Amino acid sequence: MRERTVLLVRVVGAIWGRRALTTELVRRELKLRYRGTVLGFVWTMINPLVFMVIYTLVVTYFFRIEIPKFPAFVLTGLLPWMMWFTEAMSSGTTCVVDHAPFVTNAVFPAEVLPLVAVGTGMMNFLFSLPVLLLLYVLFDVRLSVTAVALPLVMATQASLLLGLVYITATLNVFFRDMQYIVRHILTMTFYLTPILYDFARIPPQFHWILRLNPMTTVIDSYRRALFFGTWPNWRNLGLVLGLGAGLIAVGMGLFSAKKELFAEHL
Amino acid sequence: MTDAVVLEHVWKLFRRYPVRGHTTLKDLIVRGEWRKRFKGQQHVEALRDVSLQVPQGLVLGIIGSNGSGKSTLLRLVAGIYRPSSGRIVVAGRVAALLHLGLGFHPELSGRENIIIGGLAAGLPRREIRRAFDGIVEFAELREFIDAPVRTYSSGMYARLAFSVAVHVNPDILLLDEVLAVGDERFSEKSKQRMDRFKREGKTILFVSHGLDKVAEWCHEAIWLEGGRVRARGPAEAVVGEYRNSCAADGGFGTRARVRHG
Repeated sequence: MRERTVLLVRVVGAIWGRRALTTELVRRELKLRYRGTVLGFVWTMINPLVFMVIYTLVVTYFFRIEIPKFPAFVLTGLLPWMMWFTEAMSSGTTCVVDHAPFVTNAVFPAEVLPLVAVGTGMMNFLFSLPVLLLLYVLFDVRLSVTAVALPLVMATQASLLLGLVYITATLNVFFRDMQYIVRHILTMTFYLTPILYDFARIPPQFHWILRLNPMTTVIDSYRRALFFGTWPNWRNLGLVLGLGAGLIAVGMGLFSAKKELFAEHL
Repeated sequence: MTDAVVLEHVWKLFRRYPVRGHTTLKDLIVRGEWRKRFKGQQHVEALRDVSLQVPQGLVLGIIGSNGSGKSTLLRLVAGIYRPSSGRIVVAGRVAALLHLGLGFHPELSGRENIIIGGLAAGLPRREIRRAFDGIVEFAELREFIDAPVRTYSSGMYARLAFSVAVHVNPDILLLDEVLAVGDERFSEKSKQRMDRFKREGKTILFVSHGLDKVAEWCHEAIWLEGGRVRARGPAEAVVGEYRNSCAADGGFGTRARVRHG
């Protein structure tokens, strides 16, 4: 146990010592993505916007389910999911493999890579927020004081992602199947997360199923804080944050225990 | 004098994988590789019980035939591999020039690689900025510095790698056969730079098959054979001993002697 703690402290220290490297890598990832495109960031934004239009069509007009201001409602859930969660999960799972030339180099601290993947996704999400606000103006959704909960909700999502990515990135070095498994799980989880629908409207007997998925609480919290103007369920959010912290401890421990084997497997 | 690099009873085993480079989930489940993976694995012993002390300022040549563990030793000191058992202590900033193809990301420009490489080595940003022009100048890559590294020739690549390594102001430099690359002029230039390092009292671990170079340039040398240290001492003596042994073995050794004699 004590050994574990020492290990964790050392990993966190190593990452803190290389924060300049982390920000540089995040900047490069963002730049690389839009290099050689005229529209740049617009391309990334188009995806959730297209889904927003399709889901509005399907839910409001085909299914005739009435959720007021549905485009703004659904985009509030789509952005943290598509711009950040799936993005960081898939690029994070392959981050060690993708950066093989660096990882096999002498001094490169591989433990910053999952952080870079999660950070890049977070920046992506932040860049997309003005579009969400524009939509709020169009649909007359007023931000209330509860919007100040946003940083905390984001911190919860970040901790959850970091913990997961440290684990999947490590496993993917040894079993490349991991990246495909993650992709499929993400597709399935999309429907088991209240993005298209409102958590409050789900029959209560099914709540526990959705609660098994920690992203349920995260997405629901975004929606409460931004769209509905109510406070998140603090107890649930706290539980997910705790889960995230636990996953980070496990994930970083796993990652650093296996780190020196990476070079042999790349 | 303090030691820059210490190895205590270091072993390095590599697993010999039964199927391909890496195991897939299918192998694990369908072919039942799971048990094989953890039990009865075959190992290759790349280093066996190597103990070594390298005092600060020593230029140590590492010689031995192919597969004797030279590169593994450097990679362990560089921290790329972890010893299977034993302990390694490295005191100071390490710069490593291991074999070509390592260290740079092919999709990034030379400029980005320099910046990321420097930050990864723990240099503060302003120090990189200060060293940047020197690196580009020395590597003679001014007009190519914003092109992706994958478009570089192997000579350009080697120049950049060498230039970065010597400009991060390392305390310990690990060199694996890199002085052989680049044209005559650049290799002369890099030799001068290495001599300066030697004068400045940097610790250098130098792996080479160029026995004359080791004998002439290194203070001391170790001779690795089958993952063990077979001899250590003044460079010239160890090189002589190695040559004699190769000659006695015939074949390869004879050729080696002719080549270097």
